[in-house]
Amino acid sequence: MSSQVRSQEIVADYLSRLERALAGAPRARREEILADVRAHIEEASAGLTGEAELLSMLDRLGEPAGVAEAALEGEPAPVPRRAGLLEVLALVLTPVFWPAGVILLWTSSGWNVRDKLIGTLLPPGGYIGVLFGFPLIFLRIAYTCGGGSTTINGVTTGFSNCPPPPPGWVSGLYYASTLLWFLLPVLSGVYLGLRLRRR
Amino acid sequence: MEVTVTQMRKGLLEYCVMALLAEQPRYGYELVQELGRSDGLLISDGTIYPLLSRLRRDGAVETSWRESSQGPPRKYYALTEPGRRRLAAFSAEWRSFSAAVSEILGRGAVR
Repeated sequence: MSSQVRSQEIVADYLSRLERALAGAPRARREEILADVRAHIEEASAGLTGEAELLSMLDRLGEPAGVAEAALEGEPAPVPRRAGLLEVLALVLTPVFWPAGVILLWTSSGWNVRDKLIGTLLPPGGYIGVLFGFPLIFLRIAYTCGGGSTTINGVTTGFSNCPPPPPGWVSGLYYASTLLWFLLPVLSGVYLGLRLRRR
Repeated sequence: MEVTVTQMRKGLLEYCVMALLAEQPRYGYELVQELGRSDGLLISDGTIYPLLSRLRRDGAVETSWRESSQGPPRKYYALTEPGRRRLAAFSAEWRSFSAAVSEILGRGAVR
C-alpha cells in the first residue's frame, strides 16, 4: 500500500473519530470545527515526510475526545431523561383513559411539542376521535332496525321496521372508520413509545 | 496542582489568542504555531478550534477568507471592537493580579 494512500487513511480515520466525538455538538459548530481541523491538517501536512511525522502531528492535534470536550464546554445539561415513571404512565393512559393520559403527556419532558400534539389529537378522545365518533353514532342510529311487537286479536306478531340498507360505500366507510377508531389509539401509543426511545 | 494549571491554562488561553490577534489578523494554523512557541500554553493543538469558534460566537473575533499562495483560501481571525475592549479589561486585571501573586510568592519563603 503506497504511503500516500496510507497517510490519507490515517487522516480520514482521525477525522471520522473527531466527527463521532462531536456528535453531541450543534451541527453548525461541528461542521465548523471539522472544517477548521481539516484545514489545519492540510497546512501541517505540507512540511511532513513520512507516516511517523504525520502521526506525531496528529498527536499534537490531540485526541478527538479532548477536542470535542473543549467544543462542548459550557453547554447546558443534555437531553432530558428519557423514560421515567411519568412517561410510562402517559404512554399507558393516553389510549385508555384519555384525559389523564393527555395531562401526563403534556407535563412530561420526554416528547417534543409535535409528538405531544399527535398524542392529543388521535383517538379515542382526541379531536379527530370526536370527528369520527359523531358520524359513526349517527350512522349507527340511522341504520338500526326499529321493531317491536303488536298484539291484534290475541295474535302477537313481531315486526321489524328496517330502513333500506345503506349503500355499499357508506357501509364500507362505516366499517373502515370503526376500524380506524379502535386502531389509532394503539398506533398513537406505539408511536409515542418509539419516539420516547429515540431521545 | 495539576487541576490548577489546567484551569489557569483554560482561563488564560483565550486572552492569549485575543492578544495575538490584536497584533494582526491570523489564520488558525498560524495561531497554533505562535502559541506553540511559548511553553505550556497549548497542550493540544486541536483545542484552539473550539476556542476560536466560541470567541466568534461571543463576538470577540470575526473571520474572513483570504487567498493563499500555498493552497486553498485561509480563514483569518481578527479581533473585533468588543473583543479589544474585553482584552483591555482582562489585561488590566491580569497585570495587577499577577503582580500581587508574584510579589507574595517572591517574599523569600518560596525558592
